[in-house]
Amino acid sequence: MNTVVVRPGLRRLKGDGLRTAALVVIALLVLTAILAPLVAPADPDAIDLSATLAGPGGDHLLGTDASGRDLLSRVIHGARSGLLGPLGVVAISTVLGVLAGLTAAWHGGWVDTLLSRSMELVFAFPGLLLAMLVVAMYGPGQTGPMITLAVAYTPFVGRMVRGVARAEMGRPYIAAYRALGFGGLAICLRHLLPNIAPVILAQSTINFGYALLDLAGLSFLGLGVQPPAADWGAMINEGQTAVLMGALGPVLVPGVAIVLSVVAFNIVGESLADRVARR
Amino acid sequence: MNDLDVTGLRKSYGRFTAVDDVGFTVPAGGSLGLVGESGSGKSTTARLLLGLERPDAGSVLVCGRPVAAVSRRERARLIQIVFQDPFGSLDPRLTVEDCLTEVLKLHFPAPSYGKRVGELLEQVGLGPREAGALPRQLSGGQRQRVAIARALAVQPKVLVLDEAVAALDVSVQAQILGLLADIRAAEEVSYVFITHDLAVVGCVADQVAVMRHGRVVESGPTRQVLTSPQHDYTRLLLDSVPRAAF
Amino acid sequence: MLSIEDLTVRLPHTARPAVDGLSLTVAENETVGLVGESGSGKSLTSRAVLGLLPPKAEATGKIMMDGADVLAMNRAELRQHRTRSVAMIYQDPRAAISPFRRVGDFLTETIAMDRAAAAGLLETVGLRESHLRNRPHELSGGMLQRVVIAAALAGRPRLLLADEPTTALDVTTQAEIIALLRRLRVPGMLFVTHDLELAATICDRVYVMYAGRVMETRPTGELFRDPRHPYTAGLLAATPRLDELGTLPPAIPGRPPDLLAHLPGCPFAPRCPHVLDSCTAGVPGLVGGVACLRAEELCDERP
Repeated sequence: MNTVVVRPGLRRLKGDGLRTAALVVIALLVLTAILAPLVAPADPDAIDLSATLAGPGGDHLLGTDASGRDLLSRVIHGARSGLLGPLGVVAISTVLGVLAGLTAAWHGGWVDTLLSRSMELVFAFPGLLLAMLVVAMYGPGQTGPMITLAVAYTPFVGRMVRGVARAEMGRPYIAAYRALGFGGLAICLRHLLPNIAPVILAQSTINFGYALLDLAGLSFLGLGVQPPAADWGAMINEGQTAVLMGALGPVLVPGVAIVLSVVAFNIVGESLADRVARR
Repeated sequence: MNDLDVTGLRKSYGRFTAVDDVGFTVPAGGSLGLVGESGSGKSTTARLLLGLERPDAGSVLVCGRPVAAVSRRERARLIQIVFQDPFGSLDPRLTVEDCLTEVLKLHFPAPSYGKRVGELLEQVGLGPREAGALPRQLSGGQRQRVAIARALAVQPKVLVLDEAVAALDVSVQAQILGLLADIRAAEEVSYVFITHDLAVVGCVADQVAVMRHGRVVESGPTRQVLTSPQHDYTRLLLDSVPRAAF
Repeated sequence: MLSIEDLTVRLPHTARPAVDGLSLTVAENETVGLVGESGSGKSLTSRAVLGLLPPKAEATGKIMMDGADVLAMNRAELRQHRTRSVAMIYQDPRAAISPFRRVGDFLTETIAMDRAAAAGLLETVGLRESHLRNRPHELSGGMLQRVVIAAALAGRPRLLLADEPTTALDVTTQAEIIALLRRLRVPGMLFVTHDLELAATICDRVYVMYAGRVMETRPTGELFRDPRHPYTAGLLAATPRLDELGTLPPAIPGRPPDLLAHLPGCPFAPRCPHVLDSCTAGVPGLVGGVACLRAEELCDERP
């Protein structure tokens, strides 16, 4: 007699570990953002011209920038605008996208055509370009780019919601509820939306990472959050001169923070999407 | 008065006519078998009966009332449907009890629904243990019982069973057929069995209508149609039913 | 040709084996039916024959195909086994064919044969050469199943494994496919289905499975004339029949056990009308093709 045991794939195991790590990173980020004043060792805006471009260690764990501000404290405070901006983008684009996508899917016909075409129209403009245009018109700041990016992200969410909703509507329980006399709005809100919510959550999580990257990019270009505020993108912008002087810290520290967050949100989003697909 | 009068029903999608001049009647407490293969138009007919789609022509009367002209909720109390797929016909997030309560709430406002939910479950052979279960915790047969209970909750005059036993195991299928027969004997409800299975039709339907390419090609009392079929297609269907060759 | 000996398959997080001590043979030029309801373990058995058990499944016993044990094969041997010895036809032909490729490409690329051979095969299964140029969505389910059958025949398999090959098809198409399978005369066929009547139309011998075990196995005619296991009898009685118009078939009470239930003794005992205390004491073995303690006695009782 012989026994065949098929061992679980290693990939799955690795995936689980990676997801846990990503979740820990996100949890730490959120905690840091909330508790920034408590956990930051120094005032992020305190200039100390006697200790400019200090290396890591000593009084400043991650060193200082060209104005002698504590990099660790700045990157910790930067988590606030770093997370708040994408949160705004994702919240607005998800609400708009779900509205548009569900309406298009449920009504079909000319409503669907109209909404789908308008979404494609927005789709055709690169989000960053749109944001730059808005900044050129209304001046830099956090709100303008955030709202513009939210509008730019809406078609992504809308198209996805429309597709998922149409597939879900093909399932007989939707027809059963219509036959039972429930109205369209009630079915959409009480049955359709909750059942596709996991997919939307996964997509929004992935979008969060991209929005964070886009907003940091705008800040880096000087179009978003303005220096001297502690913002990751703005920090890299300010740090450029330091690189020329041979100090990598002021660019590396916020850079690593951005990369870590984007990758973490991406991993969690993808694993959520995988989990939904497996069901 | 008949429970169901269908006349001249037609529905086209673009140039394709899915249902063409379909008509039949079901007397009070009667049972009609609507037989056809895929593409015969039997499922489109079901959607037209339920008012889920508007016919291009023709009318559906339940107890003399046109389903196209009454309010959504009133229509629901005239005619209900149970689908084939016991996995997809329930909202996966709702427990059995919540599922039934929601329907009762919409149609019969009352301070509490516990008693009625209990009655409905008992009627379909389920108990309090199943009441708190989610659809995925139930077997296919149990889910189909829940779908039947949900349809009965609004006390419809006509119940459409769209391949309602096709996906079930034979031993469970016989249980559900027995349950449906018991319900018909106890309640004032008539059935439209939509199925491809002539043997099932033979044991539950008084009348049969055979559909092909969107039209009714033959109809009449079940025994007559199944023992002396007039149309070639009915004969082909009968010959195709697998039978143990002794 | 195929001989399964004491096959037991356990799935993770279950209380009892999904296939429990199953023994089965398919002889040269024999069509054997494997009949059971959902959860009976019939599909798992057919997958085991192909060496396609789900991950984490644990299998013991032997599956001997022409003298070689499938469970002991390495990857290369399994590939050889799946192309040359055993071919499978599935329930849903649309899932078996890439929707983007032409039928001809599907046949010539996946099975590696030339166009002439492909055209010849299509003719064998009742299609025309012109169908080579069709894409899957242009063909009906029945035609696609014919294409899948043609592909299965390409490797000249010794054993054809048909897992519910007509369940997704219309009644008239089912009759055509069954007629085709009968005409083909592959050296051996294992026909897996939930439909006893359908099995009767094509099989020489039938195994009736329940909860992972064989309840009864006899030549088809005998089994239908005189079912000896209460489960087989119940299943036959529960099947709606055209020659019994207007009467409801008697149902088997209860429902098939799931994999989380541990079943001492005969798995059918909880639903059996003839159950005795001794039925749950030990697992009845197959005696005279029937796994029932009371088979003799019940047989004598009948007129």
